[in-house]
Amino acid sequence: MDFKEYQGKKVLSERFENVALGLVTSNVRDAVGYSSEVGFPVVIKAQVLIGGRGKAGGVKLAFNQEEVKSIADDILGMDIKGHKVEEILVAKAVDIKEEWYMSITFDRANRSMTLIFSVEGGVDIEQVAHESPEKVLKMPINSLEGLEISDLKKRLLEAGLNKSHVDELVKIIISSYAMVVDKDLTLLEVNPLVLTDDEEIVILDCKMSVDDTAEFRQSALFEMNSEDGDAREKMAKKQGFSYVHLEGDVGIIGNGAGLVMATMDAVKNAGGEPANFLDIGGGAKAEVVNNALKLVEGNPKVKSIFINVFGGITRGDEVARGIADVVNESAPRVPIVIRLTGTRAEEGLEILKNETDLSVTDVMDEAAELAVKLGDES
Amino acid sequence: MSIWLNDKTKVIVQGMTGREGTFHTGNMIKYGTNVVAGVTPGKGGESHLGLPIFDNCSEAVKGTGATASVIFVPARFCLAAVQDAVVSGVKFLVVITEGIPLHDEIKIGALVRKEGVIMVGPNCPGIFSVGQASMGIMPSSIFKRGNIGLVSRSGTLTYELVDLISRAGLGISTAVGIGGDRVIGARFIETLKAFNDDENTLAVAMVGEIGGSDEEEAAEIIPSLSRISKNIVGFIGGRTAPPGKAMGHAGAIVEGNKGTPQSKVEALESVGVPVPEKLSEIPDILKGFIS
Repeated sequence: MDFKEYQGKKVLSERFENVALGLVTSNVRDAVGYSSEVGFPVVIKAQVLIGGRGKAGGVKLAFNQEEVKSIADDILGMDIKGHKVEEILVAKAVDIKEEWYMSITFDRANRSMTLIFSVEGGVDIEQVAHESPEKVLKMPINSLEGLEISDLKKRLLEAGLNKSHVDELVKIIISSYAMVVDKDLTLLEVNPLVLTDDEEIVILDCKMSVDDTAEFRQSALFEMNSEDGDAREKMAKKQGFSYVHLEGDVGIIGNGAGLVMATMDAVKNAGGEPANFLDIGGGAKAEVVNNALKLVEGNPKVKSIFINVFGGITRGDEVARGIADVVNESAPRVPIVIRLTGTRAEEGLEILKNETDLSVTDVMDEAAELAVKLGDES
Repeated sequence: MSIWLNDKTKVIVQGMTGREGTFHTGNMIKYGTNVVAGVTPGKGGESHLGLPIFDNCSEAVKGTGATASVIFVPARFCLAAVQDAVVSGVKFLVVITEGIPLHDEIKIGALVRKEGVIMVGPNCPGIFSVGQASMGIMPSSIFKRGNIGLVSRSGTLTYELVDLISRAGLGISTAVGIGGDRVIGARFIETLKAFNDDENTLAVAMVGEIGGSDEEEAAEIIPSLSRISKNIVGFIGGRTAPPGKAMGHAGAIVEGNKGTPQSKVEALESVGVPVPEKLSEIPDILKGFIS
């Protein structure tokens, strides 16, 4: 789960003093009131789960009350790359001497977390990384041994920082990594981490993601619930399967992520476009299949549905039972093609043949072609 | 005759007394796997499925001489279970458990690499040496014995392909489901090397999927596998998946320009590995290799 800037900052403030927390509001009057209290200029920032806010006009400085009012008015309700701005963060602007970049993120190639630091932080960090990679320090972190402090100090000094800043930064980095591990974060990015005119190091902005699989031991973080994702995806998660909304018109249901992806590919090969990815998981029972089918059918763009199940742990007769129950409860809106094989597939096919008049086959490519064809005709 | 697991391998099952553990251990024993003990902390001294239960792996290894362990414990206990297994001196591990937190997976991966333990998984269907033994949850009914090695990041797609291979009149030596998580133990590289050393495996099918760079890294070493390098066929699942969306497997996600199907297909084809668009084309390609 990803956190909005203010939520990430709130988490960081448990361990760090210099976090530009400011005020979060969806109300222009509160924004004006708060700015008058802390003094001008203030920075007003859209709170959305997407990068590039600044370049989209979602981050602005205001120098007096009128400006706060008009800027807050503009940003609230603004659409940034499909994300509607419902909250803004207002904070007193700081005098920036230097902008640095720091992140700790999962590095798949090294199968570890990696620390990334650059003395040239700010909005153009990606350009810096691309054009002058030597200005970006990367250090994979050994999960069994922890950070190598002496090496880290040496490399920060080599990056051109003075000793007192390095000492302060090392403390920040050690605390950051501890937080990443303690809170099961998959990403902590502070950009910029700024040095102010008063020689203070301040966390001005952050991105934070927590590992979904760690929900059982990070309940406090998950209660912050910042997700503004697809409603269907959220509903699917509650019902115990994995759903990704796509743009096509052939609804897809299957068991096992790999098989479902291959099913999407088969539909594409047959000239169709998948409307979704839906994995009912291993060992799915009739009720899960029933809910999955309702969810996919509820997408108005769907013109046909392809159910592809290879029984292993998942039993073919259970899947067939779920399908039969749905179509007998109310006739399906669109044609459904079922491919069923593996554990107890014969019993399942028997149920479907006796109780429904759906198209049934045991060959995947044929089923995909049929689903696309029936969709085109409907 | 097989890689990593054969009918002599003495296997312990961590989490054998649980529901999943009980069911799958029963199937493993039925198939002929040499399961010698179970491990459940707090239940040492009891017996289950006619086998002794130990409190930890070290005692189980001491009592039975086991060299391999398969783990069915819930995600939250998995790191501790792997630590227990590694300390006991077990050299081959299969982790079936899904939903292990990333930081635990990172530590598990680092630990087995440091100690030189071969680990299959986590979040995988396990390993199946046809006619000999099974560690995991693969359904035995779909397998026929033969000379094809199979390595796959996906569970059900493994079954799908095994079924296609069996129906085509071919058979499998060992099938390994390496799992689709962000951090896994044995990757394509280690598994292909093992197949290269197994005289009984004449050709290999590798089933990859979007995300990560394991297929690209495997392509770099394939030319060095003198025995099987010309007999490998590949498949990449998720060619039509959009970037930025994890497709069920935590690892199956195209991030930026990394992990794209194009890059994987190109890397494999550049070292002579055909990558058909349909899984159903694979058996004929395999027939071409071994005829």
